[in-house]
Amino acid sequence: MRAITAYTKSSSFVVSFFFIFLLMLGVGFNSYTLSVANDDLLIRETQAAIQSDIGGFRSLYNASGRTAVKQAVDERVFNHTNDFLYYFKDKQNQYIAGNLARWPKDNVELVKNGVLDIQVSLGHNFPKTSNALKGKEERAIAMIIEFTNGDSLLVARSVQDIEFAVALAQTSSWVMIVIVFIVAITSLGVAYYVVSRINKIADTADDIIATGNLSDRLYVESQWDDLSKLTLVLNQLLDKIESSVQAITSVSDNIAHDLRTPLTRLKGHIEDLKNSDKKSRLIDECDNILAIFNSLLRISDIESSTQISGFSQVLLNEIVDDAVDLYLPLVEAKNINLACDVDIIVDFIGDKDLLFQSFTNVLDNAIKFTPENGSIVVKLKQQDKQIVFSVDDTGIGVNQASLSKLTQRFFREDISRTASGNGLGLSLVSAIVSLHNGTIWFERSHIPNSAGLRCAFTLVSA
Amino acid sequence: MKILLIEDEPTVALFIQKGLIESGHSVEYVDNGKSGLNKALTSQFDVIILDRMLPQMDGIDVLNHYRSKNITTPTLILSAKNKVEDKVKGLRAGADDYLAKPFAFEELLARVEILASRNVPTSNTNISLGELDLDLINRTVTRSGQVIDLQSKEFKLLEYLMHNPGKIVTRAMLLEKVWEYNFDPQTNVIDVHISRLRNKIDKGFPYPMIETIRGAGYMISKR
Repeated sequence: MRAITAYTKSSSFVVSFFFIFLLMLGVGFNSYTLSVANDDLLIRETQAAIQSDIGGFRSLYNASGRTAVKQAVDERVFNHTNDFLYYFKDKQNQYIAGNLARWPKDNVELVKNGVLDIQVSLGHNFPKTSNALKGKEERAIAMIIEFTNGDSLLVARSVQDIEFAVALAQTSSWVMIVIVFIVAITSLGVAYYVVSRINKIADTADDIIATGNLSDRLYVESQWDDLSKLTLVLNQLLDKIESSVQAITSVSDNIAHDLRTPLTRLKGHIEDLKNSDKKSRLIDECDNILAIFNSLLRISDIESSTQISGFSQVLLNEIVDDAVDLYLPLVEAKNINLACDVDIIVDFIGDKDLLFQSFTNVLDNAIKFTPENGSIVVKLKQQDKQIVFSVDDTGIGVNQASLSKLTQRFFREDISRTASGNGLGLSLVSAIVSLHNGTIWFERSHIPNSAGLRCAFTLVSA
Repeated sequence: MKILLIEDEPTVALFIQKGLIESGHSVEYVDNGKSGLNKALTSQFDVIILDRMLPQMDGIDVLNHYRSKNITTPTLILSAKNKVEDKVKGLRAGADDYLAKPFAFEELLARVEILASRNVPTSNTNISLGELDLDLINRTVTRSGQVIDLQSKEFKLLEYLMHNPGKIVTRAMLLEKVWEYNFDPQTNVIDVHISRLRNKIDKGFPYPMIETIRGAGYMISKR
């Protein structure tokens, strides 16, 4: 696992952003509707309705006089044909018809187009319409028409409920904006919490991978949520892996141990035989098998050791020189041209014996596969904190497909099967390099005009 | 030879015990530090093989304890992991040799046999074996009075062999004493060094002094 570095790459963050976006869309739509359908629009509609009613009364008065208008007002008032409010009076301000309690006071405001904004209250002896309350003052939109003989008719409509609806809609959109904020903050908080817990799991997993310490476990914070369950399951998985690895290690160690005893005994029996060529070959075979077991046990030993308590400060260049010195007779015997380019590295912390073993194994391989009069180049270079050791040869090389398999246990190319060795040398080097936090790789030799192999690895001081 | 084996891992203990008995030694075996110390203090042994990690009492503590009681029995420490620290601790506590697991049985046997004969005092100015003389001060070698010219590593090889005449010296022991690296030589590189040495010591003389012991190592001896 790898920790999430950019929070935008976490699914919980993406989901929260998506939800926040949806809610914002909702708020936007709401505000748009409100801005279009505001009280102006509703009031204009009311005005238009009043105007058309008044137009009707004007023609009625012109055609049939005051009595017809009174009748029409009465009919509207008593039969609920609409929710309008009426007050019909004569020149002397005497009430003629209508459901309003009185003529509005003088201080009415002229809104526009001759429309008045007035406070009205319904007359007591009229049936209540849905809009107006008896005796209570309400805001209404009104128009007044004066007829030719001085009679006046006031037609009004209460706007209380319209204003109430608009106010309600405005409040609800504010509430929604607040909800969006709350949701945004909570979901980002939840996402942050989830991501940081996943990161904790990922960090521990990374640690386990890096150190190979299978006994490490994920920290379980609580027991109730899905992430804790995941942590518990992963811990169980680790338990299982740990016990399997232990079982495998102990089985392979036991095999090696258990087979070594009978093999040693077998070798003893062979030694009791009369001296002959066959006897020596048999003893050699026994020794080979025993050496393989020892190498296997040794590799698994190094691979399973994560501790570096045995490390000490070593002179890396001297170890390389000693390794080259040890192999000099072999180099001379094959008349190989050996070149060394070794940086002086004095402050390296590592295991001297294991490092020596890794250098000699690589060198041994190079000498084995380089023909007489060939060349080998040994390099030890410091690059910042990293140290690179490499050996180039002019040998037969390794085909591209096999390069990555060279460190596998018992891997040998067909072409090299006839050569001595057991296919464990580079596995051992690989284990040692890992112990020193390095990496090993193989490529075509850097020596010009050569098809040989380059084996290189890095080492990092502990 | 009477050997005390203190080792808690039964498979390893059995492997060592059987091998030593088959090589004609008598072995007393205990599986913990306390009884091991008891045995070491009460009986006489030629060599003690002591595991580094033991239940009840650590190997180093056991060694410290009987060394403080003036028991000088040569001791070989076995360690599960090839760690420099373990080796240094063991040798500082008074161990005479150190061997990392896993090991080949011949390796252990050769070391035990050399430890048992270690008490023979040798002169520190020159060593001789038959007609072969080693002058440690002038770093010169003669065989039957004839001066042999050796390179420094060859001289060290011969010196170590001559310290242990008639004993098998393994390749790992040579690497450890001559090259001062503790590891498992998986190749014939030591053989090449020995054959160079042989070319100088034995070539042209009536009989070879350095002998290869198949599957084990080398031995130098006089006729």
